[in-house]
Amino acid sequence: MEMTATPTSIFDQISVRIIKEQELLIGPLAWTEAKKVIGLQIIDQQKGQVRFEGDPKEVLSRLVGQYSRLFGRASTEVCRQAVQDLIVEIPKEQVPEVLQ
Amino acid sequence: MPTNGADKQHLQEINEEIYKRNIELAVVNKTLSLLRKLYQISLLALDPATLADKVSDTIRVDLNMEMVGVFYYEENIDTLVPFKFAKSERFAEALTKLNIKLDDLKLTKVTKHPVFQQVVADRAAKQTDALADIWSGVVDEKHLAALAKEGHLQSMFMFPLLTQHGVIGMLVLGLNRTYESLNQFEKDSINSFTDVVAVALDKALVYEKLKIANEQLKALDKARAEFISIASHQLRTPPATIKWYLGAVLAGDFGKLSEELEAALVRTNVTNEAQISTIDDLLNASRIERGKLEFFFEPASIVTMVGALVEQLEPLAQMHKQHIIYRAPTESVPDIMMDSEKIRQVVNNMIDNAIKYSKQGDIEVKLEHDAESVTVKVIDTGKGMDKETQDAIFKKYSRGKDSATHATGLGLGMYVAKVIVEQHNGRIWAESSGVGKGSTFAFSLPIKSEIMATTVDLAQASE
Repeated sequence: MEMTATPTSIFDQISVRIIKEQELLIGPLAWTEAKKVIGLQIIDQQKGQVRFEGDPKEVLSRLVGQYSRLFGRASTEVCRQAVQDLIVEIPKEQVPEVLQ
Repeated sequence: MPTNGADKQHLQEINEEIYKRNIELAVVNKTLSLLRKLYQISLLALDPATLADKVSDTIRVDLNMEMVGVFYYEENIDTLVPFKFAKSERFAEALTKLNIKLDDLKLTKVTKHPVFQQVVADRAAKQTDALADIWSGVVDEKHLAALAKEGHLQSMFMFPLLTQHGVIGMLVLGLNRTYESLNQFEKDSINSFTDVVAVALDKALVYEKLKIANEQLKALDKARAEFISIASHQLRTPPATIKWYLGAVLAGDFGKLSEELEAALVRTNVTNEAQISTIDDLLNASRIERGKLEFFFEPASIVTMVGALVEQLEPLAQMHKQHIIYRAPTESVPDIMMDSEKIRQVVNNMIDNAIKYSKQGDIEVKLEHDAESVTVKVIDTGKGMDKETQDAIFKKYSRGKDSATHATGLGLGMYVAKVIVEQHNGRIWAESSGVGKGSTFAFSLPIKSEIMATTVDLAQASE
């Protein structure tokens, strides 16, 4: 999928912010779970570098869902709150519903 | 171990509950982590500008803000003066593009301003979504609207920086979102760190004031010392000229003098010498303060020097109906490495004091020596001293109790003497059995001194 208006890096930032926020709560397990998400490739965990394959909006939804399956709705709220300053920078239609 | 559906559900519930507890802990941890960073900054940063710089930058980065600004409040001119603004890259770019320099923009008439008045006078936090609420009047409103758009500013928060002395400043936070969208960590942090910033800034401002006051004091002290030096030199020239002419007249260079005239001129000479001595003390004290008291050490006979001085001061003693008795050792005393003129001043000041503070009785000047040192003692039967005066007598501008009624002087003689003796690696002291029981002033100088025959530039002298 071609991203025109929004640079891919903002989605990178959102996904890394979510993983790091979850890391504060559940430790390294946050990265282990993130690696299971289809379309999200962890390039360098230390540097917080990731790569998206496919629609970033869908990948982000899957990432949030990955944590939600394990820890319930509270984890979705954590993800949502962690990225508030970032999601205001992208068009609403590109923001996954779970993060709105 | 196999688990059934109910067990799985139960484990999931436990998992979620633990997770919820972790959220609370994580919020507290993050808030404490930020506060710890701010405390560390407040401990390490001494000047207000550095402190404001680091504090604003830390808050901006940790809370993902577009801008954090620290102002201090100058109450006497009712103005908020910007210290430092930490900016996101895009906010900084927008400022550059619009040529707005927030760091230079002072906000005046604070207590008359509809928004600042609430922050500074009412000590209330204030929120706005319009930059014009802060910078209207100093920045064009169209520029402000463009800045908000390009700098991604959606809401601004202003907090008073409160200390026990009142409001000392204002903290401004600029976000790309609303307050409602802040998470618990962000809300908790904002409510916690304003006090930390206020205390840190207060400490830094006090440090700055002390630094300035210290520099001003140093400048004043230097100016005073220079003034005294110049004035003393000007003061010394006339009595030095008088001394030269009096010496010539008393030596008979201008013809024989009548007894009466000679006696009058001897008294004039004594007074003149005392004046010169006082000015020399003043000059030396000034040189000590400026670290410019120089010493010219060379081997010299202290026995001869003290003898000549006693002879010179005898007329002064006679004016006070006293005599100076010089008790020099009968055996030979080796020459010692000293600045003769300075040591002469020390002995002069001791004998002069003894004469001034004794209404009657003779002054005894005793010179003793052993293998290690030479000691000069000036013993009088005069006013004496209590213990408190003995301890204070070598301090600058220190004068004996009731000295105003007993003697003239500036209270510099013994201070200068102490510095001179200590520069010779010697020791100086005063003894008295009490008030009315006379005093002994003494100093000793080492015979085998390691001082070389050279000039010492006195950098610092203790008082």
